Amino acid sequence: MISLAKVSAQSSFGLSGYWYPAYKSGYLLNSLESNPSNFSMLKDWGLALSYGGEFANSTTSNLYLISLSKRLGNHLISVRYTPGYQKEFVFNNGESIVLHDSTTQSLDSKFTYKELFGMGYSYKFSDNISAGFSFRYFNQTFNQEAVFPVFSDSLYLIRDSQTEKANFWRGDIGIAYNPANNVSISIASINLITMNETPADSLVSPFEIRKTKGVLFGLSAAPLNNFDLNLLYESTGSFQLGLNKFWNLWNGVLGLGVTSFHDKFQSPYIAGIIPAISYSNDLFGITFSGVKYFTNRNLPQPFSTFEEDGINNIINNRYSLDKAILTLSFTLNTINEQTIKFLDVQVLTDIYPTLSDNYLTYPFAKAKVVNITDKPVSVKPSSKIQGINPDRIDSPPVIIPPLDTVEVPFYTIIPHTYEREKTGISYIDFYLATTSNNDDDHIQKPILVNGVNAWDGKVMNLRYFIKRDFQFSMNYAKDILSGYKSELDTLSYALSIFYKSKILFNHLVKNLVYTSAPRAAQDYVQFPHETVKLKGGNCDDLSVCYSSLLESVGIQTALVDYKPDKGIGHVTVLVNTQLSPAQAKLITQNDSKYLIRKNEMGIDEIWVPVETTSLTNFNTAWDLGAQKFNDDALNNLGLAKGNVQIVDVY
Amino acid sequence: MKNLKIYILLLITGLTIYGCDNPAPTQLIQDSSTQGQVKVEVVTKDTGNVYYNNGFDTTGVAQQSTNYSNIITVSGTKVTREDETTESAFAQVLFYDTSHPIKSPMGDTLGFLTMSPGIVMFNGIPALQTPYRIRYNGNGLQIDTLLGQQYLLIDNGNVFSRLFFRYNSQIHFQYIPRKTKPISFDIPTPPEITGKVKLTGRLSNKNLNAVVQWDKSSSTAVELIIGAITSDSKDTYPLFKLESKDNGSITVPSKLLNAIPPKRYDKLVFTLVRKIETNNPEGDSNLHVLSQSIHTIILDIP
Repeated sequence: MISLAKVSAQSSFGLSGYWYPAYKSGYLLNSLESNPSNFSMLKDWGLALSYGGEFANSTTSNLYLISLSKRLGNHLISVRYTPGYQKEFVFNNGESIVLHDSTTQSLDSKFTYKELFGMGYSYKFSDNISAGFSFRYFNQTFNQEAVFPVFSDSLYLIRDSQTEKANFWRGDIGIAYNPANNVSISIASINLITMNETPADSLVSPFEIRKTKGVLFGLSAAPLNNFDLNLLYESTGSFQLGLNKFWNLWNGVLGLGVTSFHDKFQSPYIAGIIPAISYSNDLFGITFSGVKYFTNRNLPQPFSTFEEDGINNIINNRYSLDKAILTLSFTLNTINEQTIKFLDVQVLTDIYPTLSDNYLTYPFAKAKVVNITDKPVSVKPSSKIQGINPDRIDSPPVIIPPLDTVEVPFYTIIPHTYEREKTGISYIDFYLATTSNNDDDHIQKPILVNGVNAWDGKVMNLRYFIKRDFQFSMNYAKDILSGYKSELDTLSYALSIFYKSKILFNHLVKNLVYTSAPRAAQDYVQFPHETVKLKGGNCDDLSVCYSSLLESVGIQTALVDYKPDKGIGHVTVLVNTQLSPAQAKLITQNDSKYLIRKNEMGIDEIWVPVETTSLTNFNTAWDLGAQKFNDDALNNLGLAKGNVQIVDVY
Repeated sequence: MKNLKIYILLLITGLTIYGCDNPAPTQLIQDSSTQGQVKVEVVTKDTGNVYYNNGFDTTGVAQQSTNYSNIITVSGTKVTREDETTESAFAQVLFYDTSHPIKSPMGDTLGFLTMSPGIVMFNGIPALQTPYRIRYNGNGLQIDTLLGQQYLLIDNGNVFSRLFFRYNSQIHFQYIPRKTKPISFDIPTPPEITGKVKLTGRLSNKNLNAVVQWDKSSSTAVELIIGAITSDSKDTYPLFKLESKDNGSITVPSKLLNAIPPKRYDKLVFTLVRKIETNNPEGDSNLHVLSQSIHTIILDIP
């Protein structure tokens, strides 16, 4: 036999109707009734309050609830205080007493049901699956007047009240799943756990809130743009159906909706509707809603029905009155909503710490970044190489059009204090931020960080080795030249650069040994102080060292890059004597031993090539350098073909 | 942003302060068939005094009205004590001379002088004229006093006397005065009432509860008179009268039972009374006719 006696009423009732949960985060902040799993799209803080009035014979106004929500990563916690979630019944309890003057007084009862507060927790497993639970605390007070006999010299009756409390917790779990952007499915328990804090007296226990267990199914869909359809069905047969339409207005969304509900314990079949109008933007939402029942609730209600069926829901039962509710929700975001995200990041080069200035000029990585909003976004990219950058290094901002994808370059700075000689794998954190300081996206990539002596094989980048040891070179060069001060003072000023170059070279090569190490694509380059200390090096090391000494005393130099032929390359130094072509005969009668280059002002100057690997003397090195230059750069058209390149140090 | 937070705080504070109305309560109309609809009345206000001998209830629990000068009472009674039930019936007629009140030495009105102005018959059986005495407590002494004569017909179970009373029937009443013309009419009798009492808990633990059930009928009300019998003198004190619908059950408010001093009393008396009252039959404005079905159950106090 099927019993139809005790069926649950609408448990999932929400005072603001039922809206598509993913559309705007504010709507479900306060509804643990229709949202037991505490699902929300809230990003950070959320505050909501509902204030309204009941249309009884006299209108009363109440603060229905205040709720506060906070997202911490994938965790969302909500608490709410619900002072207006209460229902009170007053009735004659069936007893009366006859007083000594033969008058009769009836005894009354007052049963009060309250939901005082609740909390919800949910965990977001992914962008489309969230599960959680909620606990709500209910207070039931059964106040009954009773007759108390007093036995003394005479027997008489007094009337007094006695109060029974039956408080309990209710716990439910639920899961929400978004299989598509415009579809949301949820399933949750109804009265899964009910824990009595104070059990009710047997006389009043029949009047406790019914706690029939059930299952709540939710389906929300937005089949059309700015239109959603929502169904909430309880396993006991009650349901509510919401239809909502939205318009984009005033940098926000204006929504108009109506929710109708069927409740097993209420009549007619559709017991009432909840029309609502709502406006929300990124900062706040305001919803004005009403609950209109289709039966007159201001008529006297029979006690026998209350005794038989009780109530299943405090704010929606056969005795509930029409209401008007104003719900305000505030999303106090300290976390920006994501507007941009990485599609991919490509690391363009390994890190050569000594080539630091290079990374200010050329990006070491580039990322494909998409703007996922319908507004232009200014992106502030930044990066941080672990072990190198103590702080993030900002790259130039980039503006990305709406829904567009652009390539964002990343630049970096290597501190001059970086001294690590070993090569190893490190990681780079790439960040994207918009207007605020909060990151919209972050991605990490590995990168090879070479030691400070590493060189990428590009002669133009040898300049960084020349500059880096500038202080050593200056001291070293000045120390040498100070020993030749008297000789230099007797020279004409025009020849002083040439002779300084000569003195420095001759002094340098006294203690140096050339180490033949054919230059490969990538190499290890010694700083000048290391070359001096180690007393030798290859052509790169010797050229760097000699160039650095000259540059430190103000003599302009350039490097001649003889590009690898059959895998072997070579570097020599060009020294700017600052002599004019007319003065060239002061240093040589052989015009093939020098070349003429224009300076920044367009004036011709005499440059002499020096083969630094010739550790004999300056004149020999000059001869060899000139011969090499003439053969490779001029005679074999190396300069024209690009096989030989002159690279200015500055 | 800072200003916005301040505005939100002010708004919440304001709504909290001004939003503290309680929702309007729902008034329910009492129509319950199971909820008592019980009227409670103290029967004996002074439990130190006992007014005894009402003429129709050997337990002395059931009381009679003294608001009328002429009272006719017919009662079918059962008394159940330790699962043994004895049945009897009484018919009593009192004619009061309200101009002659009888008072105790303390000045309390005990009743009125009764008269015997003619012949009374029930179903043709003449009632006997017997002395009408009541007992009261005067300064600690049980004092009997004679108010006058009463007409009394007692059915004690013999074949002859049982003829006059039937439940759910009627009794033909005849009054033949000496000086005026005779009066006769039929007195309807109520359906028989048979009850049972279920006691749970203990009085000493203050958790004694009683549910009284009976075979319900269509009459409008049933009276339940709760009395107690003293453990020493075995006097019966009617304490409370509960008036309920004749719906077959009543849960005695536990506060009534548990207030009874357990040291003074050792038995409880539950008397169910289903009655038909008729005022002023035959145009006699001073005549009150009471027809009762009574079942008294005496139980030890647990």
